Amino acid sequence: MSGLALSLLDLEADAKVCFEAEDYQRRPGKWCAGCGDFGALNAVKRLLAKEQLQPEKMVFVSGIGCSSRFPHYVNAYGFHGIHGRALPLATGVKLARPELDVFVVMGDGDCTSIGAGHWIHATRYNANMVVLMLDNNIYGLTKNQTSPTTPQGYASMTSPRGAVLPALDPLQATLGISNASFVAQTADWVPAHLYATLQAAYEHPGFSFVRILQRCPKFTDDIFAENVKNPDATELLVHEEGVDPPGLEKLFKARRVHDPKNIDEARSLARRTDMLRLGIFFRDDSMPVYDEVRAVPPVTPQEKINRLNKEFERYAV
Amino acid sequence: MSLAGEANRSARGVVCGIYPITPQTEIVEYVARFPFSKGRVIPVESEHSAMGVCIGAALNGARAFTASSSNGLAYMAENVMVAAFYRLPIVMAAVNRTLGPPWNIWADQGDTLMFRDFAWVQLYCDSNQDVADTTLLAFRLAEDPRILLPVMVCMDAFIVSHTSMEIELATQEQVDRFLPPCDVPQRLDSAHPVTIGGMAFPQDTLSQRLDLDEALRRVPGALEEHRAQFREIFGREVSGAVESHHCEDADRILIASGTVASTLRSVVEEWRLRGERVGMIRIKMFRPFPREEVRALCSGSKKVGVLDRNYGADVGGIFCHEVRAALQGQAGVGERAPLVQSYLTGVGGGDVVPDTVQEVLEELSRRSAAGDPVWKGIET
Ligand SMILES: Cc1ncc(C[n+]2csc(CCOP(=O)(O)OP(=O)(O)O)c2C)c(N)n1
Ligand SMILES: [Mg+2]
Repeated sequence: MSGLALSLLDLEADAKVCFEAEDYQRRPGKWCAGCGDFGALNAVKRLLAKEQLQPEKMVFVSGIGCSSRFPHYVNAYGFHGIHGRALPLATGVKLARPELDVFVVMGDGDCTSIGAGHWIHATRYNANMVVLMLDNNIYGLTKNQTSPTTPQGYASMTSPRGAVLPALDPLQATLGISNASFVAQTADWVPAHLYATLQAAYEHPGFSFVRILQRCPKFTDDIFAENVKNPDATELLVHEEGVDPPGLEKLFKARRVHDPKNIDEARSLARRTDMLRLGIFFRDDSMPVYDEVRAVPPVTPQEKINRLNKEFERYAV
Repeated sequence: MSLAGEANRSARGVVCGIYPITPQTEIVEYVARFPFSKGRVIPVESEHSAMGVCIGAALNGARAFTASSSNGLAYMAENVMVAAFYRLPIVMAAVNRTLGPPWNIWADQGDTLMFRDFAWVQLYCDSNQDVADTTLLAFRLAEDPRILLPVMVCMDAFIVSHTSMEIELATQEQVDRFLPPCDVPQRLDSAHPVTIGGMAFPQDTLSQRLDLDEALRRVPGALEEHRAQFREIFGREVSGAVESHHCEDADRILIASGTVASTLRSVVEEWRLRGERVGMIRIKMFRPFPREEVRALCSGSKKVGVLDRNYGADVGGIFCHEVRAALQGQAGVGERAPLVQSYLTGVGGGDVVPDTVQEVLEELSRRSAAGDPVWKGIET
């Protein structure tokens, strides 16, 4: 606490008017060398600098897991919560202080396993926040146990003979929830795409769900290896309403024009397993946003007096 | 650590709902690794579900086992209660780890002690051998038709869970003799289908709570019988509800549970050699609480110090609270009751070393009245 307060004070004392990406790094990230979480942190720092967000005007909420250490490394308010429960807490923050920018960071276990109930409802509430789901297909912090997104047949400490069931697909699941308004997939090893996706997520008014495929060099290094090595195994979903970061055309030859407004196509693309697809699957800025729907308009002094008088009249004798 | 897993595997035909949390993870990984006959291991999405699987299995008469720790137990709480309130003989290995926040993985018993009113039998182990033997004993006790209550086998994080020691393992033949196939009244009976979980009136709940209480009261007697069986089949002792040393003529007695008790043992022996009249009690069974034994053992002493590796809001140590309750309000005992002082030692996982116990004994020796809990290890 005191550390956070101090670092915010420092910034004020400096009276900085311009933040560089590095200004948002509170302390060095403590993840394994080669962990994809570093890439996500870098992209977030770039976004914060691009938007020149004030550290005291944003909150990073996480659950428990390697990925959930995120708030400790960002120069902002942070809440490292309890396992699986980041979303209700973030919803509370947003409703109490709608003017704050709220970012949520969860692992695949945090979001799709122990916290799955909140994921469905938070998606439906569609409160205005950016949600990063760092998906390494494994429980990392507890050291190598099968998560719902672990591929079928993949061995871990809790499934030594391989995961029994087909993996749960977070994109398909989120796209199936009523009032879902922003569903995207990106990867830690394509920094330009990651950054552009976070930018779009930040601009979207509502609950922006971003699944970030994240390499875990310790336990699931091989799962994304083919895609990291061979760009031809990945297709980019591009559209003027989606993301199409300049410079990626040469690297990724497989490109598909997909209108993010088209929910049916989004669902069918999410279901296909022939290739890895990165891009905005679905975006609709017109969905009702919980913090706006539930916003209480400010009451003028005159209005307060009118209400009081009305109340007094009920008791007049 | 894997000893709880091994004891469970050898118990055969067990359904396990598993979900990992440090420092319990190795137990569930062990049961996932070694296939066992008729056993079903189901990795689920949370602790709540892990206990849910055990409840579903036990409702059908299957032997059920799971393990958890700390905040995992906190999240499991609703089903932990349900397991006992339906009198289901489930066994759970619980690794005592500090509840967060703040996040801390070291030993503290606050996690399992939060279930003190859930009518589980709770046994606190002090060594690896104790864990292996107590887990087998736990199945037997839980499935005893007079008891039919879930049993928690508790052990200190890391100090027990992540250390090795040479132990005597049971053979499969011995375990099969000690634990015949689970045969409990909850077996599925297709001739008499029933639905469980209806609405109850106050009177029904009252009888159900009394029923739980009566089952708990039968535990001490049953435990002794099963220990005798254990001795006969395995050829060694498994510790009982309490263990005591030198209490007969002691004017000062220290009480603790789990691994802290093993430290008491050595310090008390040392003081005895110096001619000091000190004694000790290790409380292994927290529920049902061995009130009579504690009362009898403490009846001749003037001062009792209870060392708790846990914090009960507003009461100091939770074991101390129970010891006080055991010694008070008994006609004829009241005016002779010793002073009982609470010492919070190792809360949040701090080491409780012989010097800590030494300081406690010195402090207790100087005391003429009990006071507020003494917090050991606070840095000033
Ligand atoms: C209630 C509860 N149960 C279990 C745990 C143990 N635990 C900590 S992190 C974790 C899984 C982490 O996996 P994931 O969310 O995918 O994050 P990663 O570490 O892979 O980034 C588990 C099971 C816990 N902290 N709290
Ligand atoms: Mg993960």
